[in-house]
Amino acid sequence: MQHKLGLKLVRSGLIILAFLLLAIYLHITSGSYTMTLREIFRTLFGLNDDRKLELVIFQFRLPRIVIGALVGAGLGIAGAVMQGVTRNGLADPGILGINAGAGTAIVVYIFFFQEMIQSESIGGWLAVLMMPIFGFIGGLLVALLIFVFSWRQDTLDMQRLILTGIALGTGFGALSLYISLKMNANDFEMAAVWTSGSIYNANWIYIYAMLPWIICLGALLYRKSYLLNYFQLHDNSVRSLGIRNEKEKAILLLASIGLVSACVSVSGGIAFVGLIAPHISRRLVGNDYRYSMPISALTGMVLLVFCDYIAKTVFAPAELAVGIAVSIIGVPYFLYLLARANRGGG
Amino acid sequence: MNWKKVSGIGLAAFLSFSLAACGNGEDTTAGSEASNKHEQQLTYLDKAYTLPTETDTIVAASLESMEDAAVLGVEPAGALSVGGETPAYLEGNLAGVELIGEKMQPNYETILTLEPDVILGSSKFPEDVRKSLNDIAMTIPYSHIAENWEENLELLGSLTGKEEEAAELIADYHADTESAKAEIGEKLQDKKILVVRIRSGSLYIYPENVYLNSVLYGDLGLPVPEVVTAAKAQEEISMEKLADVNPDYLFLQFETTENAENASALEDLQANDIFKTTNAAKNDHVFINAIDPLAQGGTAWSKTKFLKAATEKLAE
Repeated sequence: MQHKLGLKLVRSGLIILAFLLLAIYLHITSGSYTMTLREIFRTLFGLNDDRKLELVIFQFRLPRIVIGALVGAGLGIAGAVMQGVTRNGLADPGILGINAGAGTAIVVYIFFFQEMIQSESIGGWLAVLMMPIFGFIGGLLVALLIFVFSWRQDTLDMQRLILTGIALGTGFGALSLYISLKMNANDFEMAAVWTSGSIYNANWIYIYAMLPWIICLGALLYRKSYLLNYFQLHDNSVRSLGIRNEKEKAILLLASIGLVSACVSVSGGIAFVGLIAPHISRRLVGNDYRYSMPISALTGMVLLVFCDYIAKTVFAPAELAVGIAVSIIGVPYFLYLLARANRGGG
Repeated sequence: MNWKKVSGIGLAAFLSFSLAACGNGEDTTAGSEASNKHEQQLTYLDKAYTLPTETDTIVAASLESMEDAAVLGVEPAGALSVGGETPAYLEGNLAGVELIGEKMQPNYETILTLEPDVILGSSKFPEDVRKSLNDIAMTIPYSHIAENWEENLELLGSLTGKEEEAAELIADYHADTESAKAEIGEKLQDKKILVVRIRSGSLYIYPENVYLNSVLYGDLGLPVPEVVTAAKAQEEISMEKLADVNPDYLFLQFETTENAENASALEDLQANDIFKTTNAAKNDHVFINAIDPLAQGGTAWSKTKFLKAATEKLAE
């Protein structure tokens, strides 16, 4: 049994990895700046010292791919955790209120601080990082608020978590809408771009800022993925197995919050990846979270890198927000999966 | 469990890969080997910029610089699109110019393909966009503030060898304001004149020196209504408040793309009974899109056109 599952995992993993490589290949070979395949590979391996080619590959194309992969992996992992902990297949990281919180913080930043920071001309790196930092803190604060509200009599009530998540999410959504209506046209559009999710602004600074979060928290969550299997049982059964139910759930949720905040602060509110990546991976390798979580991370990577390729090419030279591309491609596929599951008797 | 080992190796591999990539990236920016002898220093809004002496290839990556290019009769190598096309109101001047994407997310690769000598960005660009554009070519943050319109025009003039035309345009504008003042200034001293922009179906007003207001209150010296003095940024004004202010003359700016979900907002407003009680509506002093609603408001193009339109309308 174990052996069979392992085989399935390796096979699915390889297939998705192949898709990931394909998505990366498509992404790196397409763009408005025309280069031959030979030039691309020579530049990638440092055999070419044409300044322009290096600029295109290392400053414009690669950062987007890496950010896309990191965000996709983060959302994929967090989505699997959310669905496992809440025992709800419709849960996605959005119910933790991170998108709404980060969104509000970004709008507050654009409205109140951006001008100030630009006029004070703070050094390059810090100024570039200012917006993600605001988003990160905003996302964390709101998620923690929801976390505290759903803590009742020393237990973490999942119903309350979902409900407070929806309530606070709506509340902060309204707040950011209120502030953004006071903005001038330019700032409003900037906020709108952020809200629909975009990795157009990817750069190495963002990658360094989010990489530690993704790696540390991703590894922690993977290490605890076996717990998610037990959480599918009734709470009492979980306790009787000697698992510190509340503590472990709290750790899993807090780690997911950190993970999603890091992703969202850079990419903006990308919905749907955290919802469908775990579903796709469960279809591929079954319900064991030790297997479905890494596959979910890989699926998230493929989804985002491929959708960003679509987002940057379909209306070129104009950009489509990658969040919108994800929805356009993800929704039909998701519906197809559901329909097939129904036909097969669930 | 050997996940530790695996993730450790993975981490090391990933870090070294990205470090290597970054190192390469920095090398490239430092190695702008090109023509050191053919450089000029240029000062714009108290900041010095080093540019090639010949600035033949200019990319206009802001609507402000595009309007200025249209006024000066300059054809930039690349310009922004609005909704995927050259903005209709500048089409006469910028038709056929290579499109470089939308104003919030200009396409770096397309701009690089054009090999610009200088990029006229927007002072509203976030830091990361400014940095990336600067990697392609020297990027000057073209001011979006109405008060800087003369400096903007002079900058573009000096980049394209049209200093004289720029100076002439500025002088003409000042002369026109003076004569307009003499013509209508007296007569309107006790009138309330308001600019309202309809966006997402709601009505918005602007502070005294923002958008088209700089022409009315700043240049023509018309009395500033209290609501405008009180506005600190773009502010929504309700129908009741508008009726309460009761403007004698009303300039309405309505752009369909800004009201995608409320296409009938303008007709609804005109059919509104409260709106009909205002002096402006009663006396037929509501002017819709006196200049193109996409116009930025604080540029030579917008100011010249709006001054002309406003003087005409207000003299009625």
